[in-house]
Amino acid sequence: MPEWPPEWLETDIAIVGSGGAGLMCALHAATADPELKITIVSKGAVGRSGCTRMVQGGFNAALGAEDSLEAHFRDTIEGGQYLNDQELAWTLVCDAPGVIDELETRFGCLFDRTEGGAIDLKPFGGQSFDRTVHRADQTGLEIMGRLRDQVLRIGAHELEDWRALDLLFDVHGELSGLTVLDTQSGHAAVLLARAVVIATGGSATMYRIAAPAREKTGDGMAMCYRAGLPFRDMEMLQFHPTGLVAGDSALTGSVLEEGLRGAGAHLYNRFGERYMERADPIRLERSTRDVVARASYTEIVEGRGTPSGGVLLDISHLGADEIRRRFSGMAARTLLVGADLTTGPVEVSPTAHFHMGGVVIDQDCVTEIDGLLVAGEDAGGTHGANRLGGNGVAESTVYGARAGDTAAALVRDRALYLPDDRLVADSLDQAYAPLRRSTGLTPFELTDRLKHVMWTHCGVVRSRGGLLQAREELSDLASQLTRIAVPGPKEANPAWQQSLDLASQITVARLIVESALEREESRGAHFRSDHPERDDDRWLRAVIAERGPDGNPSIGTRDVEFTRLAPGGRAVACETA
Amino acid sequence: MAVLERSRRQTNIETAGDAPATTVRLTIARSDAGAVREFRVALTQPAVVLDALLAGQRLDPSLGFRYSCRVAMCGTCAVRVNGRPTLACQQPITPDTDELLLEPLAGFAVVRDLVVDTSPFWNAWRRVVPWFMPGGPREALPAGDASRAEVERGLDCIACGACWSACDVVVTNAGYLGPAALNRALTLVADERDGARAERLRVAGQQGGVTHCHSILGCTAACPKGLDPSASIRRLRRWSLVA
Amino acid sequence: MSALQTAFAAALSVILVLLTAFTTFTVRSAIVARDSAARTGWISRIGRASDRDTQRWAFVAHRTTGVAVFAFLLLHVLDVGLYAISPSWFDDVHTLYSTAALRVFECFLLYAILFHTLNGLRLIALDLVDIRNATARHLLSLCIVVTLLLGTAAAVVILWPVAT
Repeated sequence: MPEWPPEWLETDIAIVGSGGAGLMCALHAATADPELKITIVSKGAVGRSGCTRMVQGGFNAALGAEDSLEAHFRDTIEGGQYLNDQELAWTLVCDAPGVIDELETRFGCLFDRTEGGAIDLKPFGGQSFDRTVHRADQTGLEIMGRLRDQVLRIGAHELEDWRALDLLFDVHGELSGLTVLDTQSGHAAVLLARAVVIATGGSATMYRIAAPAREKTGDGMAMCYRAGLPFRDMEMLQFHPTGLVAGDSALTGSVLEEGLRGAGAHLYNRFGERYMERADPIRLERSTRDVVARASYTEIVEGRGTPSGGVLLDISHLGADEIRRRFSGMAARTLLVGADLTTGPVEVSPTAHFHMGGVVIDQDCVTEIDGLLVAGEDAGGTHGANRLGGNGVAESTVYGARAGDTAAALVRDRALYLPDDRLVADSLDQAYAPLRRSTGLTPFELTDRLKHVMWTHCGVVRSRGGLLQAREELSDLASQLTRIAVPGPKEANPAWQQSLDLASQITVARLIVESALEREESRGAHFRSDHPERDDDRWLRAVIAERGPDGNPSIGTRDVEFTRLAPGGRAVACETA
Repeated sequence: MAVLERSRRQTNIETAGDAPATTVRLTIARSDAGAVREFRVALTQPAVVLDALLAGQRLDPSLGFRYSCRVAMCGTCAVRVNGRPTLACQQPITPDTDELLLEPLAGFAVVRDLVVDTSPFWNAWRRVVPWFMPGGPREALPAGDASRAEVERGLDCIACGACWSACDVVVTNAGYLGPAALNRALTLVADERDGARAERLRVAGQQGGVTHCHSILGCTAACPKGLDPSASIRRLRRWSLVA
Repeated sequence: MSALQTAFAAALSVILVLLTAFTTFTVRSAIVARDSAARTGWISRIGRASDRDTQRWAFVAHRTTGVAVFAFLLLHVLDVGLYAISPSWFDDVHTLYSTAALRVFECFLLYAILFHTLNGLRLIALDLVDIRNATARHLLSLCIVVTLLLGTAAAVVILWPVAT
């Protein structure tokens, strides 16, 4: 069924993903050298897929008069419980104010300002100063809308609704590009590129209750894994404490914003107990995401949740008018599922949200493979064991911009390499296989099973027994992949695409499970019921996962380097850039 | 307990076992010859049209449709429900719903089933020079500023194409820019930080621009984000007359 | 009927036929031409239209009434112009205006003029003042009600001589 030979396309820089990181990368590369041929490969609509667009809260940048880069850095490292790659975190903090300026003055983002004219900074969880830049509660939409239009200006070649399949190498192992598939027409192509930037975002969709957009199935990470790149801290997957519970509806898992807890919302179990009084008597509901998510999860699994598996979030004591004024979007979201935030409690549950772990990179997004850059949520290390609200969109745009600068410099003296034909053939054979089989499983049951396994055994609370069971289940699921058969044509067939998504999700899920088995302590987003304490003596170490010689993940660890701030708050070297 | 009781009253929370199922007859416009068009799906409350599509997909895995974010941000799940353009993720299916007719957006060529080719929309969007260009008379717009207020009225468009589908003019007049592109133009023409306002106002005022609007207000009625593209067009019309 | 009267009636009939064709085309294009996937009949779609579609139908009605009034005006310029050639020809044609058929036609013409005028004023108001969608819909309802009231009152006057 794959047409042979496939279409051949050629570009200088191939960017996979069109969220904040992908588009910033394209714009920076075009600024560095307007003559460059830039190709954006986007599984969904360009600029309208992924999660940057869904950011409600905002963008952390140390812009306040009292604030400092050091303070932002310290908050980021303490939030990440010292597991961060400190150079990545420092770069994030240093670049963030400049990127805000660029977004506003070059790209036109209209951030909220005070009446005095200064950028309005709002308070966010886990931060010592107000430093979250925003536009109402639609910050991501404003940023992505403007970036998308700027990309029209530079006239990048857009492969919209095309998915990336595999990285390609020549016979000597030089990166030569990737195979891509047009999900609308069903045609495949080989995209030759001097540099490839992976910016596809994370893979939290592999959980039963999950917040991200459907595209985020870890395709980029899976490609990098198959290409042999090392990953760090893959066990660190953040659960947002207040995901909407809406029965069987697809809306289940969508986030009710953190600001609700910040504004004083209470959490109750089915008996009307305010259980955060037990979990964190001092900060209560305003505790960090990991603590609240774990407390809610415990209520639910121990039978104190609502019948449909949630706890109750109540902010009605603020008064309906006040709630409508400050949280109109959230109020509308609850009305849609038959609840009403303004007059009573709504059911919420922890929801899989963000992947702190990812590919090992340096501050310039460079990986171990020459010509291959990784930016945004696909990369690991910036956030350590827990991400602060507002640092996510900062990471995408800061590192997207850096990847663009790096790529523009890189392609100046990097040649095009012709890929090994065998790799092309294997990649396309694999992609078209589900369509070619006449009978077999649909991807839906397998996806449901994956989501169930990950939620139950590798979710908010983990244990060795559960993780071992997850390992078994995942290897069984992986073996079932070759039995998937999808009916219908190759044109615009979402079930076929879902079967390809599933393969990526299972690859990343195995990395998460193996890394979670390795880390025998509890830190940040990773909680082991059999090792419930944080163990700084043994585990100030990054868990490194990569593809072993047998094709399965091989796991190791590496000391975290405290290049700027050691645990206990001792500054090592925190000079201003 | 009282909290839960209150919640039950409001949300009709039922125990998971006896969640009420609404059976809905879906008629879906299919483009493959011989493809099933009628589906009966059982949905638990709460449900939106997207849930009905996902349930339909389980019955016929070859069903073509698209969605991404589920929270009215990506704009990719826009379809016509009973003839009316809307976002599948935002259109509730109430317990008393018996049947639904789902069709692709109007005004676009169908790629397959409910998936359409939105390139006419984006071609129009491109024509208004939708990107911000630095160089305007002001550097920043503080809170409460008049220019800021004008811009903010038109922001938060998700480019879903519902207004295009609802516009009677775009389909009979292929050169017309359409509501979304003109709304985008307004957000830039009104923005005193922008350096190319005159150019955009010229594009909006010339052939294919604001003069073609017949004030049917279909766009305003259809916008799932509650924007008023029709008002944006009328503003541009006034400004381009004065300019 | 004189030759001149026959000619007038024929011209009017042609206008009415063309107008019917134009209306059909406009309504169809409002329903079907914009709809690449239409498989259900366009007639049944009109039936499903709800109050939220009234402004769409107002657009269609505004177009067709505009064309109707314009076409009749052209004919009317001609028949009035006959007076310059021969007053008797003028009288000859104009006796037709008092027939029952033309009186009925005049009633429809009046409805058309009233609607087109009032809706035109509504559209101008819409352009000049920021009117919300709901208000614009209410104004349209007002236009329709006033058209029907005034039109019907005038129709009684016009039809009275032939009805009694």
